[in-house]
Amino acid sequence: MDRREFLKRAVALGAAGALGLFLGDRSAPGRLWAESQAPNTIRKIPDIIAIKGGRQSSRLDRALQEVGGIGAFVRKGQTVVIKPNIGWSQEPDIAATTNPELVKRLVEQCIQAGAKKVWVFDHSCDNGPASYKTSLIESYAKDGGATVVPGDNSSSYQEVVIPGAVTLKKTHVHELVLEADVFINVPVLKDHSGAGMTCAMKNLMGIVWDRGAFHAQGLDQCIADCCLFRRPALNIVDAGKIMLTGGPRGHSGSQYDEQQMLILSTDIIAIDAVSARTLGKTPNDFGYIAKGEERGLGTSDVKKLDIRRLTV
Amino acid sequence: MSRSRSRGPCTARIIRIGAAAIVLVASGFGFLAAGDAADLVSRTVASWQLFPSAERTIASGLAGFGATGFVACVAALSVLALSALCGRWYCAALCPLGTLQDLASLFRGEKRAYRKPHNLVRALAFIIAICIIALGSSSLASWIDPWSLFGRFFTYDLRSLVRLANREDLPGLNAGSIVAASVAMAAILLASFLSGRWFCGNLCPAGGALGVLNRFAPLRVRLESSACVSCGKCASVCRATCIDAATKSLDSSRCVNCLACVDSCPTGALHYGSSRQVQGVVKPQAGMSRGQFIAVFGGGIAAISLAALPGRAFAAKAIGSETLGRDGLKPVIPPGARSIERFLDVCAACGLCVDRCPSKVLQPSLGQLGGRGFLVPRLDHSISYCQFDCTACLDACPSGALEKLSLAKKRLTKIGDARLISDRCVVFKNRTKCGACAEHCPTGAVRMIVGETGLPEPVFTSAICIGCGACHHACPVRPDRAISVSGIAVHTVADIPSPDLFDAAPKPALKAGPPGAPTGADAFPF
Repeated sequence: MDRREFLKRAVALGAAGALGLFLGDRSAPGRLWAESQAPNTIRKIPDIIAIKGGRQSSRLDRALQEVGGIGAFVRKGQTVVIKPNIGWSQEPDIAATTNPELVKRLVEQCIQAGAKKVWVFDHSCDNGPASYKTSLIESYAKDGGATVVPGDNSSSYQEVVIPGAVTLKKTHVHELVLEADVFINVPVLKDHSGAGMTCAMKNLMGIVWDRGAFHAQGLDQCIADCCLFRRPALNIVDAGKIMLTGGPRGHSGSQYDEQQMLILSTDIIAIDAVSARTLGKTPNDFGYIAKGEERGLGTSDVKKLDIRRLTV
Repeated sequence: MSRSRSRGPCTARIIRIGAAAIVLVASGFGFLAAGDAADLVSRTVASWQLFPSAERTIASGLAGFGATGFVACVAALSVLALSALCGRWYCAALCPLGTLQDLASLFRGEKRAYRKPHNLVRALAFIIAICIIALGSSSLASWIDPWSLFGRFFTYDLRSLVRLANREDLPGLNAGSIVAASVAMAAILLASFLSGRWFCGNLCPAGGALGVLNRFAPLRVRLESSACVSCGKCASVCRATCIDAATKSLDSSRCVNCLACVDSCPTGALHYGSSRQVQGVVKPQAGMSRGQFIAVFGGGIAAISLAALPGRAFAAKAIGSETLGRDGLKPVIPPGARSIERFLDVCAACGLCVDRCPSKVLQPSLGQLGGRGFLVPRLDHSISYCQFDCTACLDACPSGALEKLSLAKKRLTKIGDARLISDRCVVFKNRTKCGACAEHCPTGAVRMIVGETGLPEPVFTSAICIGCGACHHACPVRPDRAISVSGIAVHTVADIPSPDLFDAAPKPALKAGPPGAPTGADAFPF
């Protein structure tokens, strides 16, 4: 997508989004994306699929089996952008970043489903190349067949209007999020000193250039606003080794919970709600979950969710 | 024994040109490319440069002469020994600025003629440079060091252009370093276009030292005057402008061993090697006599050494010292520098550390470190922060200004201290969550603990803060940040963070779920 085409699309999106809001349909902006690449879901999939045991790759395979394979979301010839958490220059064992084996398996699955191109990127907090390297995500994703794209260059980010946003009405988003047919969010679940927890919603902060604006203008609202821009077709949470303290970067004294779990959902609010439970907290502990639910992004009431729990 | 021009370059000259090309290409790659290979290549080329390795030898000697000092000492002594035995090969092949000058003088063609050496300029340049070093500023003295001039030009000018071409961000781009580096390079290349290796023969301190050795080297370019017909072909190709065909003499102190003359000589009077025959009369050489050299340089250096100590304080006053930055912050210098005084003493400001710094937090100082520290690197936390698991600058530094430290030691080296001003913090001011400082802090010196606001509030422990600037960089408050890092004049060692540092924070239950949720190994927490 070139810049001109992008601008047209952004303006159209903004206008349509505003119209949607005017008409009272709060979920319209999200639907726009959904319509342009509607996942061809044949069967009804549960709100949450949680897999325990096995390895990162076997958990992913099992979870995707439950939704009828990644082909339900990625069709032949489509482009895919995968957004793991590559925020820190930390080794996989620190669990500050998404597990590289999980990313690699997801890339392989997308390619097996016929994806034309699979991109992987994150706007790291630490130095980008160092984070890509130390987390092993770069090498594993490349092994899997992905194109790993830098996220530390402002010229890759384009200004967008976020329809329905309360605070973060405009921001700069990585061009791949605008360009790819399918957007997959692959966060790692862990403690977070500022936001309390980082999981699927907070992970999307890495698609924007100016993260400082989130902190300056109100973290919870901006996280929720950012999730309105483009809903991931899939959220896959790495809850294998969960950092309970000293997050998000991880410290020598950090405590962990070896859950050996993977959670998959198309509902970003629901997946963060069950992840909050996994951290020993409740969805209400996190302002951004409530604010996202208000904007129609999903359901945080765990009791109302159709959860499929499986072990491999 | 006669050699005609059609026979092409001699073997020694082919080796020289090949080596020079390799060093120039390697230097260019080392400065302009990114990644491990470029790191290694730039470090390797830099470690053989005479000015920085001599500095490193002295700096390491003063610091107890560790392994890196030994390597530098070996490099410096090897270059000196090579020159003493085989002539000025360093200038002919190992110095990338020398090769750049040769490229510039190619445009001129073979139109050169003998020039007399500017002996006063040569002596003064050498003495002034040593004076400035003795007075505590290698970075100013190194305006006549070829490696530093080359490095600055590549780091501040060419690397910026490469970044521009790659559509990369150019944080910290500033006119001061760009103009200073390019003006110096333009002047040298212009001089080279006009009169060959003028810089090398008259200004360069490495060239000066090696020139002295070259005069007495057993293997060097020699002119056998008995075979010379004064045709002047050699003088027209001599980039050092050191051959006087009229008097059949060659000034070995300025000869850069390029060997072009050897190939040009129709009678074989010029050759590289040992003396072919013992001659009864030693031909007088142009340039300074041995006695003059010893008198001028020796006397000058002795005088400086005597004058240096009281002069330092005066010089520091006269050319200005460190200045406070915005918000009263002191400049922060990289780990391994040990102290601002030592850093300014030793750093030649070649820019290699700035070039290799992956986060681009290292930027040339334009006054923050005073007049003594022009272009000496410092950390600019508005651009980025020092990466916790990185030692790129320490690994790159050829002069020893940045001591080599293990990653473990570097992680405990305190180069600055954070200052938290809660009144400015968004948590207190706006009553919104933030924690950008704590999430970036690699040691836990800043961490979030739920306080009176009911929100996680930043808490700071100075003893484990290393001054990396991560919190400063991440803090969203403008114009002056709620947490900022100020440099410390003498680096210290930070405390090791306690393993229970985060236990004070409310600890989440390890396993929890809704009432009635299953428990056990396969239990789901929701």
